Amino acid sequence: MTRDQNLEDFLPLSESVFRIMLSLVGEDRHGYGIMKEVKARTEGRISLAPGTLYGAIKRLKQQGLIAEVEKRVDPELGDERRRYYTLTVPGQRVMRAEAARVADLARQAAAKDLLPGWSQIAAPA
Amino acid sequence: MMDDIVATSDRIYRLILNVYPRAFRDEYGEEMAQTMRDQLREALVDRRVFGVTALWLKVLLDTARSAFTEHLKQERRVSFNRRGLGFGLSTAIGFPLALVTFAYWLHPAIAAPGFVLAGIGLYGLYERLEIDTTAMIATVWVGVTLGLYGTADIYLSGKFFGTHAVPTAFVLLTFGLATMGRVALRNKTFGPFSFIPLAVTASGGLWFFVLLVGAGEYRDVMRTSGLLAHVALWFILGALLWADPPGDKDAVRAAKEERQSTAESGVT
Repeated sequence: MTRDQNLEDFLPLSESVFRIMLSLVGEDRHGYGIMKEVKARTEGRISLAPGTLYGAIKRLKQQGLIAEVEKRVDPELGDERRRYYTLTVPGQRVMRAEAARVADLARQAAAKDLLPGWSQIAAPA
Repeated sequence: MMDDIVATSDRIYRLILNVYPRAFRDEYGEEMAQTMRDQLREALVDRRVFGVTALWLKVLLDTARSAFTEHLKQERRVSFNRRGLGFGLSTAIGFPLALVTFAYWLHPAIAAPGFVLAGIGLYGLYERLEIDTTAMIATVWVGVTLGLYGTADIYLSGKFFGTHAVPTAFVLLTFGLATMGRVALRNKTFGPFSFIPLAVTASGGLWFFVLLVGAGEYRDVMRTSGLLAHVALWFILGALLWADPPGDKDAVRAAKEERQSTAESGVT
């Protein structure tokens, strides 16, 4: 993210990109680790293939929202060294902004009774 | 057995990775192959051969889509410029529109937009090209093509659009536009991927107007062949341009300046 870019320039994030970045919150992961995390979090609904994943990684890196960290071995997957990715500080800010945007949408939907059982989140803070 | 399937799939997938742009492949190819191997092992453990088949189907579809996206994004990074694309589109739509409406002596109100669009497009492309010699060649080519078209049609038949000169004129027109397109590409006015849609649009536009206003005129084999040749040439041209990356405009300009400075130092 350059100095001239605002948070809003990155929003809204596509669901795949949001899920990829979400998988990196609190933990650095390699490509296959990101895939597994996204698949687990969506109960198999989103299953990324390599082309989509690395296309997104390339663009997120160019935008400065994620960065590479050192290559290392994942003990669970044999002795191959893997490139790990981490969420940058601008990436964390974009994720917070996107989460707030989605939460606001959910609040408005709940206020219109579109989310049964969620009425408590519709109340203004 | 499991290792064999993974190893064979890995070899095939590495071959398939060649459809991605080179820069993307160099940066992520190895990681993608590694990730694919991980997915293959997981699929084999979970669902054996059915899992591998399903994975391959998903990966093939994803590769076709994502490789196309990467090529488009790469072109945009290298050579896309909106002004050039706008002028190119203006020419591609305006030129055939002007030609066909004029040839059929349609009302000036219908023909005028084609001429205006073509004029804007040609002027814009000329200004954009900047390098005098190549721009002039392109412009002369188009002028000569139009001249040949009119002359051939008038002298061979005595009236517009009435003879076998029409297919010939279309082929000549194609070469004129092709040369212009090639020059524009070499100077990065627009890139190969935006040129292919332009070529298809130009052909499509021509077809549409010919069918719309001249269906009754196009019954004989020669004219139909001419039109088919026109469209086919555009497609061949598109493929050739795809294989031939645009030249470096800055490098061409630097070479020209160097030649000028050498000539000047030779004079003094």
